[in-house]
Amino acid sequence: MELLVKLGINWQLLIAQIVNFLIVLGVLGYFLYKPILALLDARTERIRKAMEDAKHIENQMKEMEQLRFEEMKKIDAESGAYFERMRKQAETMQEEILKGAKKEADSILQSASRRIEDERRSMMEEVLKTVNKVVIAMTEKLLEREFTSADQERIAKQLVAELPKTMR
Amino acid sequence: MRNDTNNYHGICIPNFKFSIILPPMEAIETPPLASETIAHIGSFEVRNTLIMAWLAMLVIFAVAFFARRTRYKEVPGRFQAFLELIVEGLFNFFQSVIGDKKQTRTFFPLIATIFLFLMLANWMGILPGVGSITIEGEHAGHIMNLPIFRSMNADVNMTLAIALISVISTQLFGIAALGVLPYAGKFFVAPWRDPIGSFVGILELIAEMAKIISFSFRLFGNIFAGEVLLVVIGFLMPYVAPIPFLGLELFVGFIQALVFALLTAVFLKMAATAHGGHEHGHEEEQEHGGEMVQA
Repeated sequence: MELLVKLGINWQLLIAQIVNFLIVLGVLGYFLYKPILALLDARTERIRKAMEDAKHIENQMKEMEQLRFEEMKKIDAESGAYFERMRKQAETMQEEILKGAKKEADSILQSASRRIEDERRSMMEEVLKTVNKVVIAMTEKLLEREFTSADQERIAKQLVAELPKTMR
Repeated sequence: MRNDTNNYHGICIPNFKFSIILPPMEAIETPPLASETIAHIGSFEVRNTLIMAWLAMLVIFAVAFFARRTRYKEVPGRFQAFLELIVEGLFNFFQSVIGDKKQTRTFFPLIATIFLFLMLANWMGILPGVGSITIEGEHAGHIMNLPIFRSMNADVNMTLAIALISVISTQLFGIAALGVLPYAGKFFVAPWRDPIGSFVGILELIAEMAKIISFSFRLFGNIFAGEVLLVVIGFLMPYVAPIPFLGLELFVGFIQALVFALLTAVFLKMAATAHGGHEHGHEEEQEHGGEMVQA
């Protein structure tokens, strides 16, 4: 008992200090621990959710990338085949066009040479007729006589026969 | 403080022209073991340590109300961030000791309050004015100058009060976790069934009682000793010399509060674990092994 008195132990003070501590506990619990821990929990939960979302988005992006890669591969393969087909088609068309053009050019050339030949022949005939007339006229002048149509024809034939072959 | 110059002693070296004069050791008035009564409210004694407890409470209330008034925001300001730092730091620390988040959540208000309240009171005990502002009054039958403020934990009443709360809470949490009979089974075992267990149970019961004494006197002893140390150093060399000791007292105040809270946490954890602790303890160990290792 003497020790208790020396230490100043007083039951009223002891109870007062217990009450003080309980009040502090209540105030800190209500105003500090409860709201802050709730806030920290909410924040942790939000961060966890955000990280999950980010991971989900990352996975989705990876899937999309894979899908895109596969699609691109497919498109590449398809476009390659398409270009090959188009190239072959173009080559065929080119060949056909060339063939057609050559044929047309040949026909144009043929018709042109035919026309030239015809024109040359008609010109030659025209020239011959003119030459005939000139020859006859000159001969008539020289001989001062008239030739019958039979004479004219004979002389013309003779002249023609005497003409070089290229002129005929 | 007596002013008896005849009793002064010191170091005097004849060949040198200076001497260090120390006051007589009897002149040092060390604080008494018991806290001093400053006033009375009826039969209730208002002691200087109680006034310090009220001041510490006032500081805590001010912080709590200010925090509440500014409202907790999703994006914290400096003050809120500081409070979050303290609460989260303490929570993680105690969780690393207890090992179970749910149990930590249950025990946290008690152990965190013990830590914060004791640390704040210990630190406030070395503020200027504490122990030095006095009024004339009666103590132990003598008229003397009584300090108005004295470190809260330099009074056994306060340390005993918190020790009682700690030990009683330990029993209550133990009963809540295990049930009345299984918890009582830790202390009371039929001697004809298990004589050794019965003896160990009695020892454990005595240990529970001893906790109250060890808790209260460890804290009281450290803070009281610090108070005496500061008084003696301040008396011998009033300038500069006490500064390292003030730093030491800050450290002691922190450590003692931490030890009190930590021991309470450990005792709470032990109380909430079944006797033998194999089934529950093993499960928990497996469940929280990672956390413990991390801690």
